[in-house]
Amino acid sequence: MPQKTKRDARKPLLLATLALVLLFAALPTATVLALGMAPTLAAMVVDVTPGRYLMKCVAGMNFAGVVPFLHRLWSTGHDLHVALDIVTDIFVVFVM
Amino acid sequence: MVDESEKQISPADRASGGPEISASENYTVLAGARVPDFDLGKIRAYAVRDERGAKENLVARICPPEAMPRLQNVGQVRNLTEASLLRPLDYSTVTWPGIDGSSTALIFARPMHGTLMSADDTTINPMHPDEITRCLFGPAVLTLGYMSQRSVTHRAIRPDNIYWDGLMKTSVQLGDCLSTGPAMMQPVLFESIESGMTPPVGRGPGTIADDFYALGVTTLILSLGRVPLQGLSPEEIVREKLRHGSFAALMEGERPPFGLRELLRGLLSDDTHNRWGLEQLEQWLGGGQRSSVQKVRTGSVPRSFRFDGKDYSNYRLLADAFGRDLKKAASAIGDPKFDEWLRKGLNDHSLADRMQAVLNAGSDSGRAARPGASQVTRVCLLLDPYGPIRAKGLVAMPSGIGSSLSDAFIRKDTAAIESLRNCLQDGAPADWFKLKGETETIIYEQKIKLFDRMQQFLGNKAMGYGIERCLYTLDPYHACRSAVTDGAAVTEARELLPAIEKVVQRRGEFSPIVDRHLIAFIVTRFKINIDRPLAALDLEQDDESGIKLAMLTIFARAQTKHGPAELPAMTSWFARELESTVNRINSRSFRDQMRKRIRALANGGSLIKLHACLSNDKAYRQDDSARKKAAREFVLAAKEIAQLESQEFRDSAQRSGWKIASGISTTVSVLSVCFVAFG
Repeated sequence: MPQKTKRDARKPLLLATLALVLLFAALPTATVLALGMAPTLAAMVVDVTPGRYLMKCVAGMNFAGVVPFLHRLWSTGHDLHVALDIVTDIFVVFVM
Repeated sequence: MVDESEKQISPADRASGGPEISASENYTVLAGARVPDFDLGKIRAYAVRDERGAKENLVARICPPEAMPRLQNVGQVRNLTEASLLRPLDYSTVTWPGIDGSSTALIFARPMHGTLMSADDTTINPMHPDEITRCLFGPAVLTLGYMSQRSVTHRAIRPDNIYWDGLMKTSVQLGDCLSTGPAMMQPVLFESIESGMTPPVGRGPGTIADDFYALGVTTLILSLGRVPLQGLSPEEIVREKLRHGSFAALMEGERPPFGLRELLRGLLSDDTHNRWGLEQLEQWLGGGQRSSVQKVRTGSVPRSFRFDGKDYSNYRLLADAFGRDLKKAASAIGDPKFDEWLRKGLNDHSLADRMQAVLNAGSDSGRAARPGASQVTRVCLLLDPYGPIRAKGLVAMPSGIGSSLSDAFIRKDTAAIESLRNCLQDGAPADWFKLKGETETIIYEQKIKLFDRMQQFLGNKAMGYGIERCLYTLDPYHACRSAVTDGAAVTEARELLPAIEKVVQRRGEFSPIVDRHLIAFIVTRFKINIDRPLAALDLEQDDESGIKLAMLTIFARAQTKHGPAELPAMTSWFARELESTVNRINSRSFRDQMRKRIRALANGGSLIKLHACLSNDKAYRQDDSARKKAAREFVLAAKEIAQLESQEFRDSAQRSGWKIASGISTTVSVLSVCFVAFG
């Protein structure tokens, strides 16, 4: 159990590191993900139940909505401009 | 000599009116046709008609309950066909006008001739010794021999109860010995000293030696032609016999008739061990017995003891005086002079030591200053070992305790009943045998055991025990005194249920249902094991249904053993009263089924079947286990409902839902990735 607690404590740090790496390595993808996965971030903050099933539920569906636009981004050259076009399109935001 | 009995009952007498009371299917007693010369004290005699048409001259003695006829011996005496004895042809319990309770009608064929002497006569023509030997002794010894073989004593041998027999009056026939309790009608003159000191009701059946004594007195009267010791009270007669010995006292200074001296000495011996018996009499009749019996004055001592203002030079008389006033006796016995008299006056150190042991018994600090009534009783037993038991308010021989108890109950004398209860509880009757020595204790083991059992019965306060149990055990023909039978004459087990059936039919109800007498009677006479219902009766004194169920069990067992096959009124009453007991059944269908069954059995008259139905333990057990199973299932279901309705369960269900939803969500996202990647 102490091991698990230790691992849980390291989890935000790991996520932050991954986000930072992603920000520097793939800024367009990070942009789409940051704005597209906003409901999941909100759910993560709100859901404090054990297991965080609400957050997982939202995350799954949210990611399913984001994946087509990530595909579009990656298939059009992975450009920041395209990424901004995607996240500023109100219909896309609605789908995500 | 009287020949009044030779008178025939005239047809006018027979037709004189009055009720005709059926004594059995064969005999009808004509209440209007008295036969006064066949009366016996207060027992009245009446003519009898034989319903089978026989012309025999019959007569019935109507014995009221207080006469206590010896019904237990009727069967034995009736079968003594070879004996010269007035035997009853039949007997029956009858309700006689003017007599409270049920009476017993004993039917006899009237003897051909009258008695040797009437009860009122004091003198008769003396009989020649040869005539006495031939006419009296031959048949009397033979008859007593037959009776002895059947362990029955006569106890009513006296000249006014011996009838001439044979066409030429060449023989005699001993009279009726069953109409009253043993020796209850015997004057003290005809009784041995110990029996003479006992009230008639407490004399008991005694032994054949008592019959031989009475035969001796009868012989003496017939040979002398007069009744000795006339004008003396019973106490004075006993005193005279003790002072001079029976033989000398009854002879009153006269010489015995030639040839009868040894016979009379032998028969009138006050020492029962030396008294002539069957063997000696048969030898004497055969001309062989000539041995002389020494004159014995039992109980006489040279130095007298002063008690209650009188000097007693006979310790049997002293015992008698002690028995009459136990309080004064206690003071006298506690006085050191008594011990001194025993050692010096009586010169019997062994008796003095035994007396000392009795007085020390129950006291840790040695001899008490004033002995209790129980100790006085035992002192009397030691002074007069063959005399009666002298307890507080009671004088009786051990074999007369039963008849004394019967008499006390018949007279409803609570003081006498209490005295007898105390005497039995104190163990005095058993000590009567034990204090005589080791040999007697072995010989009378059965009787000692019987009285020990009585002591145990009295120690138990539950129904079926107590003084009532003692009554029905010690007097095997005492009619049931239970209020349940409503005064019906019930002396035998088979008569009880029909009597109760009649009461229930008449009253339409069964109340009271139980009392101590009824249970004691059933336990004693039916000889069935009713320990369980008895215990139930004891436990469920406040539960009417429990009592009724226990009584049904007892009556059903009684019906099994003695019948009758049908008791409709009782069965119907029990079924009605006990129908409510099916409410304890849990299964509704079984309950309805039982109700129907009970209603069907109510008209059948079988208490046995009704009892089997109501006491079907197997069915009740099954019903109970089904109830327990249902209760278990109910508890489990309730638990489940509570679990389903609990917050914990709801949370758990919610969590499961979320888990599934998140799973689906994850699957959708994975599918979408796959679709985008490979699509």
